[in-house]
Amino acid sequence: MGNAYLDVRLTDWLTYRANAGLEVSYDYNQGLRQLGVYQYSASPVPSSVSEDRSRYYSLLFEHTLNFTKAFGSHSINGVVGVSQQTARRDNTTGSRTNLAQSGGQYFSTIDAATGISNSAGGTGTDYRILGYLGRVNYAYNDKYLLTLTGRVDQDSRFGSNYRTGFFPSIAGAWRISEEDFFHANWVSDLKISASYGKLGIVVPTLGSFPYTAFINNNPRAIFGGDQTPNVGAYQAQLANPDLRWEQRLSQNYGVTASFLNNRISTEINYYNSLSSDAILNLAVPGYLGNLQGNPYVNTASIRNQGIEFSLTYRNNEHPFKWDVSGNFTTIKNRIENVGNQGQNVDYIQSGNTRSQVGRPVGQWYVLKTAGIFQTQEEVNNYKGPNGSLIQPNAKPGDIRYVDTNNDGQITQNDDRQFVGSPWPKLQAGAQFNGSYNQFSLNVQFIGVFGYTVYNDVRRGLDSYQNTNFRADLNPWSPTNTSTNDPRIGLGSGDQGIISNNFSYTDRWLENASYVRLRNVELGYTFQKTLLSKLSIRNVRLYVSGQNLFTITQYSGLDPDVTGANIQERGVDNGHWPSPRVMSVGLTGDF
Amino acid sequence: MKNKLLYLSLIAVSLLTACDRNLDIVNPNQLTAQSFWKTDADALAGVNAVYSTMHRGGISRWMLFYYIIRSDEGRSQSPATDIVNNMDQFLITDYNYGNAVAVWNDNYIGVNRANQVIDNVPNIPMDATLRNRYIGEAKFLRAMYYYHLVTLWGNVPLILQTSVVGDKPASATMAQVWAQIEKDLTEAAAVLPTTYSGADVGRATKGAAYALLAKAYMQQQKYTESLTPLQWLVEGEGKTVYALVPNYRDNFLITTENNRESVFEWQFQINTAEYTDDDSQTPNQNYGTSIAQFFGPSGIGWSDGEAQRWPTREFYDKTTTGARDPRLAASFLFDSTNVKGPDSTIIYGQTFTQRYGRDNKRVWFRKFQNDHWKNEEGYRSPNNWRYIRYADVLLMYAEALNATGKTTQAYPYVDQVRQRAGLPTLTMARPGLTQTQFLAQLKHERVTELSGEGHRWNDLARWGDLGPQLASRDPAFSTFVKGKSELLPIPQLDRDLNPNLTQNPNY
Repeated sequence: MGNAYLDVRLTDWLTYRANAGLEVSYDYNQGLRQLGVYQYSASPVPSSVSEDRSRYYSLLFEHTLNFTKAFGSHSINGVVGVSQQTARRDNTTGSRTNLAQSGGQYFSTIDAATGISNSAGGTGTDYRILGYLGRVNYAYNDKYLLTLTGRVDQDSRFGSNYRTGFFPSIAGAWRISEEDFFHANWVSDLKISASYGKLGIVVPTLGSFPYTAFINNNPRAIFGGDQTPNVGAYQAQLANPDLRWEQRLSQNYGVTASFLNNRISTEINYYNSLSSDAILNLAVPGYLGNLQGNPYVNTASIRNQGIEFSLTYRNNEHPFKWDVSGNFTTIKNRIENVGNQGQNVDYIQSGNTRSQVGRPVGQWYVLKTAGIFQTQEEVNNYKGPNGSLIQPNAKPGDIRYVDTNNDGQITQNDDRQFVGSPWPKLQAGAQFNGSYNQFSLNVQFIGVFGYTVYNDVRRGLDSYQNTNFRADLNPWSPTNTSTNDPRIGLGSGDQGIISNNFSYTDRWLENASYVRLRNVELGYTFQKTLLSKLSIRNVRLYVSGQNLFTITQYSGLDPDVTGANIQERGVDNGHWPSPRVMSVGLTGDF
Repeated sequence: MKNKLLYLSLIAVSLLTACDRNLDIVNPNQLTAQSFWKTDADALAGVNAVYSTMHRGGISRWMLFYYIIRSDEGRSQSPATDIVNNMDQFLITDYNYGNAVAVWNDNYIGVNRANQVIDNVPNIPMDATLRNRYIGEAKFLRAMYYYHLVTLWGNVPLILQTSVVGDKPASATMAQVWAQIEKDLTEAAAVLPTTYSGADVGRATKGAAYALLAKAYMQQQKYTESLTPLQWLVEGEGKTVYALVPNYRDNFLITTENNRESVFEWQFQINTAEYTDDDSQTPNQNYGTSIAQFFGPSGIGWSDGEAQRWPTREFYDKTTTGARDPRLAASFLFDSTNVKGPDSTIIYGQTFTQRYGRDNKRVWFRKFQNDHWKNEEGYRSPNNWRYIRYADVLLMYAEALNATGKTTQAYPYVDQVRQRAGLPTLTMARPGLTQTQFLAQLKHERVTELSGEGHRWNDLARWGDLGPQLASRDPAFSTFVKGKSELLPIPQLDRDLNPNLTQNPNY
């Protein structure tokens, strides 16, 4: 990584800057495999070596003119410029089987192998962005502030008709506490601010050529007396030539204030952003025969709104200095529209979630459970409007499902309903900093409240089929009836067990609200006098712990689940949990 | 000041030109679809891709479970209870059951590939005969994939053009799907050659199109219509192309693929460099089939699917020399594959007794296994799947003749099949059968000749024999619900994305 710039002062109010940034990475991976049987009763797999090499670079050039000028109480500054970014990744892989051996040691290069060789390579990333930007800041007496920004971006990842986006914004602020009419000594600072603007979004997973249809030449057909492979080619992945910028229209209104000589400071913000033409990796029905990944489509409009609030109290007047602060954010997101999904379709489906107009993104859309059948009588009494049993195959100990449409049977199509949301209603944090002489202490808590996670790990375990069991498993039996775990049994031929294991039910949803001690750090800074002889300027010893405890009802390893994509945000596929880290450290300046 | 500006503009120019400002980046990895479909080579590659679909796992593995293991000739004792419930019994664990969705998707992948050929190849300037042949091959294959879809799911969406994002058609009726299959096969048969030579052996022929067309008619009980294509095969030009090979077992050996009895085969070959079944991911793909591993006897393969015992008892007719019907040993691995019993029966290099003891009554399908040339299985079986054999065509013709009241004329075709196995002709053994008796006899003949080849499910469906009464020979049928279990449920994934699709009855 590197960055270089050149500033040229043209006049006392005008500066030119040329900036060049470069990020390069070279990656190398080697895989070695010994001769061995890797599959029950199969013939041995030969030894092999594989090597992957890749080179990535991202180049950024920026040319900007900065100006700044003051006329009496007016001050104005700004920047105009152009930027160019290029990113590219090339990779090559090679492999070969049957490594040479000597004295039980494998040789480990491709040249040392004599078997089947394979090679592959390509340019995985190759895109450019060209941008023009301008920004003007105006201030009057540091009391009235106004910022105007405009960007024009062109991105090679969109087709030529949709490549250019214009993204203006305006922001203003009024520092009331500077006004002559404002007389409140206990208020040190009071400012209100507002902003309104448009942003262009490119999702990072978009790839480099998402809008073009390409030919896949991997298929192979076998023909002939010798049964040899013949190259096949066709368009495997659906493409969307109309792919364009996702645009985010944001509004922010805030008040910043501090009181009692800055001892108390607070900030409150209301935000409301509308993402239109959101670029989603939309699931495609199987009958379209798509391969190589779902195409990206500008699909939905999503509104996010909420309040951000923070409050800090500082006490710096005594040897024991401390501050305590708290913050919270509320999020409410809502699908405003889903584009043209077809007649009567006002939702996007993804796994067990449905993003429906008027509801949050990726809300759970599943069967609702209603406890466990305790007796055969309960099964027999669970009837639909026509008098037939709703779950005729259930046995005592099986899960009871809600017949949402009241048609006397449980079906995936008709009885799923919206249950819970994967989005936290509230995220909060609290922090304490204190210092006394050479000692310092930092404590950070975070809390996330009101969201539902799909525990797919537990679904695997609690299906009881071909799996290990949870240590605290407590399956129902006629003598053990007060439990949430249904009866245990082998699934083959047992419709009751099959139904208990349906993946599309709220049996696998859990409230994942949690409070976590994110960080604690106790430090001691050595006295300077002690150190000066050793020509060390500053030494600090600390002990810290991260994620020391979490309070949650969630049964998985870590309630901090963010899922695979925005539509299935709350799916816990067994992600790597946040580690508990204890560290002791010594830092010094020499 | 002037110098400064000059200096500055020099830097600016050099930096600006250092970076390419062109935003039309050509993908260096792949051709665009726009630049494809221009030459005869493109047309050929396009057609080959349609064939390539057959070795995808959904078709070369899981679909065979649905046609064989789910029927009354197969069973599953897999520890994977989802296989038992969905593919042996009639208990659907999930309308999105992954292996069913794989079958659905792979057949539609084949349809999409065929549609691209049918849409684009007509516009390519090239030799007209060859162009027609390519389009004919694609139509044959599209019909084959729809034949699978309509016999497994029934009312499926009918996609006949290159797929586009957002296409949400309504379900077609089974009659509409059948009509399209008939149309495609009729058009294919008109342009396909009767045979291929050299490197093209294995492509779809006129005879393959006629045979599949006859199957399509018969599956709809259109026996009269089925006579026309069958006549071409059995009494017309087909007679010079096809014959039963003298040795029945040659239909299932890797050394005698694409023989004179072969009407259409799924071509498989070993690729030792493969690491995936996905033929769109890399050329290092598996273009063999894993079915031999999944049907392999325990200790050899996964044994996720195996045979019922009752079909082995169907081989009761002795040959003219008094020996046991040789097709039994060719069809099944069990304690009596060798007529002398378990001590003499060799299962992949060891005796049955050594492997399983004398009292084990399990039966495994043998036809597409590789025990004739090695003592293990794997995911890369090169043994071609004999999709339609001439013996099948002869029995179809006999069935169609009988169904249209020509029972006497039907006899010789059953005779041919029995004679090849060494059995006395039916004319000798059971003369003068009534139409109903002849059909019953024909059902028996199809079991002895064709078991484990993927025809049984559709045979039962055609004869109206699917039902819980089959539980006496296959207990899994006790979970069969008439009016429901004949078809699989349309994947909920597709219904969620396209509510215009209707679910099959009683799901």
